[in-house]
Amino acid sequence: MQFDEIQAIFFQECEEGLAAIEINLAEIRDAAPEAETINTIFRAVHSIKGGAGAFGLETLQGFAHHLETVLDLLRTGELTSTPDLTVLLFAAFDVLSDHVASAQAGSGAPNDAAVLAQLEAAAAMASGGSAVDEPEPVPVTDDSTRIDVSEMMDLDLDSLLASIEAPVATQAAWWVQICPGRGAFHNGADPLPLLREIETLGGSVVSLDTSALPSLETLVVDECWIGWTMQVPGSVSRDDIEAVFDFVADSYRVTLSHEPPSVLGPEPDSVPSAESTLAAPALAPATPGPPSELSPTPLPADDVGKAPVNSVTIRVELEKLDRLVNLVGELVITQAMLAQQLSVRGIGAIDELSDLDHLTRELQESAMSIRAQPVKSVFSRVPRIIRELEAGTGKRVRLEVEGEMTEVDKTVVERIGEPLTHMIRNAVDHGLEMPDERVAAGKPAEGVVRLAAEHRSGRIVISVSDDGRGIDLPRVRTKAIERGIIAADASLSDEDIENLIFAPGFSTAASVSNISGRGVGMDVVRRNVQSLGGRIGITSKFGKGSTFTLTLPLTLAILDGMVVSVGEQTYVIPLTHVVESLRPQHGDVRGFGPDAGVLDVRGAYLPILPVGQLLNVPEAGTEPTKAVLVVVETDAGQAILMVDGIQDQRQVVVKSLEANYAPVAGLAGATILGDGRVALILDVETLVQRHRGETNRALAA
Amino acid sequence: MTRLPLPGTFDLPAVIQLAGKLRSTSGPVVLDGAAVERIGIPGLQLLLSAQATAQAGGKMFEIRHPSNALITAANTAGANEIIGIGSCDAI
Repeated sequence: MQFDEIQAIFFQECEEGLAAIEINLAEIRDAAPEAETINTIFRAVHSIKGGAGAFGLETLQGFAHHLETVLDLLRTGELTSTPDLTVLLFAAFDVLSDHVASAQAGSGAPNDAAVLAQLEAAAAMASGGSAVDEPEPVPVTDDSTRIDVSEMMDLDLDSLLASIEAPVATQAAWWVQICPGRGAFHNGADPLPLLREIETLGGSVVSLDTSALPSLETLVVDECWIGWTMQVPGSVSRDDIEAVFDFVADSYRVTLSHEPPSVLGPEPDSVPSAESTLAAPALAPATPGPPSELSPTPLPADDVGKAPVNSVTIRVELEKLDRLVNLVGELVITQAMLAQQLSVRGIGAIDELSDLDHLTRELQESAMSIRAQPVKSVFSRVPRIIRELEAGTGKRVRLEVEGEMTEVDKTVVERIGEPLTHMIRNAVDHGLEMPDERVAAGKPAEGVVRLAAEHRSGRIVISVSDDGRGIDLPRVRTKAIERGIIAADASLSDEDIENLIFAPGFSTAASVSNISGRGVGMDVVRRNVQSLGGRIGITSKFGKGSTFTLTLPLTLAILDGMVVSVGEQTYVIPLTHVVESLRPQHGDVRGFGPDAGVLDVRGAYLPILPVGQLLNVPEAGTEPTKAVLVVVETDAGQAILMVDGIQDQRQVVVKSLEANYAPVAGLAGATILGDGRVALILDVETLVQRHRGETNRALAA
Repeated sequence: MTRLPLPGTFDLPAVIQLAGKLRSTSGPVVLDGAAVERIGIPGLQLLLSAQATAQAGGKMFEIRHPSNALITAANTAGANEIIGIGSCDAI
């Protein structure tokens, strides 16, 4: 395994660790912390620190160390959990996330000075001022270095013991003997970062032992044959030294003592009994002493080295998955072609074919479900956004999350982050009132933002609700008239007025519903959502709050479409847009300008868009009465697409035009039909918008 | 005399390669350490072994122009004196 791969795994584990920390921090905030909660956080931070040390990420490691110190004091009960401390832990968590992110990106470390100082102050508070100079409040004497079982089972007892012994604490230097063992280089590991870590604790190598090092001819270069004796100042706690070796290979043997070792070297014949041997799980057989004294590292080793959750999962490269999904897509297409060929020859009705159809569909669903991810990965970023907003606005917000395990295709997950962030900011920034305003309005001072996700009829619906002031409809209406977005006498339903805040002109408005001010308006959010094949809507009750609802397809790889013909060409209209299709009678279609027409559909006049003309298709029909009119719903309102005929309605595999050719306005992608021909997928939104623009220009001229 | 440059990234694959080269030489060896940017214990161990072997056989073995990375690593590992870094002879 290469170094880069190992590092990639480390960062994946960091992500898991950070997620675990965040979940448990939320528990601390909501209720009195349980010992196990703090332990879980501690272990996660500890793992990150250990990994960071192994990869030489010194700033990350340093910060994690300070956070770990405070957590350690908290779990030993030397610090008591206060609201202030919880806030500090959250802040430290955010900085830790930044550190991980910057380490991963290889960019500069974030500014952590302020939080570091606070962490140090918190740690100093625990040590009661008397031991401020010491990084750890629990100096240990020679005798207490023998770690007994009670350390693992009863932390309080241990701290009690330590505090009794504290007065006689000695400052004698530590002697650390390190024998990495043959396997120390496995998987690209290297003892050098460990030595560096000891150096940062103030230690240094006293002697390098090369007695076992073979000559050049017989040296096996991928095995470690040397060892060290290091000296570390006595002020450094035993835990800190031991923590350096938490993540080493099984072959390591490390001994820690206040006595200079009688035998220096990687293969000591005997170890003074005053020493305790700390070793990786597989203890070297040469290590003397009764088993009870051969203690593991101070932390339950099982808990440290492993990911917090033992889930039955494997990690697969995304590229492999994409290839699988792609192949399944091809299979679906081939199956459709086969079915078509067979039906042309009049043998389409055989059982095996319908079995194959069934199996392919199931295979496709399974393949897509592999790519599906819970929206949790996006939702987990929200608490931080809320915290930052709370700090920035002085508002108090409680976040409620529901349905975070709802799954949706990875590409969708990756792309909902931005609109979601905006919706959350919007809810806190402009939806919720200041605490005093809320109290005056008879609401609790703490506002609620509710984030929910659910599956609804083959799509995912994500909603962001707040219990804030809601939208002042009359004011929105007035402003819209002022800005010329609607006519003064327009008759609009409440829903229509609410949707005005998505109108492009509105985002730059100064106040009204205050949906502005960050350079990105709700219209941009809506455009982003639309490009994902989704919709965004809003419902609001003045004084009670608003709910933004985001509806998205579960995947961008397949869609249900209506296959239509225009001239010689075949197109696909995404079914999500289709309302109905009809064949007009003579006289139903009214002329509107030289080459435009409208159709009266149950009292509403809808513009007719001749697809053939818009896309320059030769031999497309131009006579509406001989064509099929498909009523489509878009964000710009309903419109009618005029096509020559409807062929079929089916699921199609979307092939990106952008990736395979170039983006084309008015087309959302392509697909391959059963007969092997390529059919283009219409981008209904763009077509309708473009047509409107042209019509408006024509009318203005 | 064999002159060899030490690799910039002195990782295990590089160690294996250099070990092969060193084993195939018989006379005095001068290694140029100017290019070394990354080195770990596997690299230092090879140099230690090669030097001890050369000394035992009464042959010259020197590392010249050690880079900062090499000096720092040798310092940390307590290997500076053994390798003889610091006695920066003229070429």
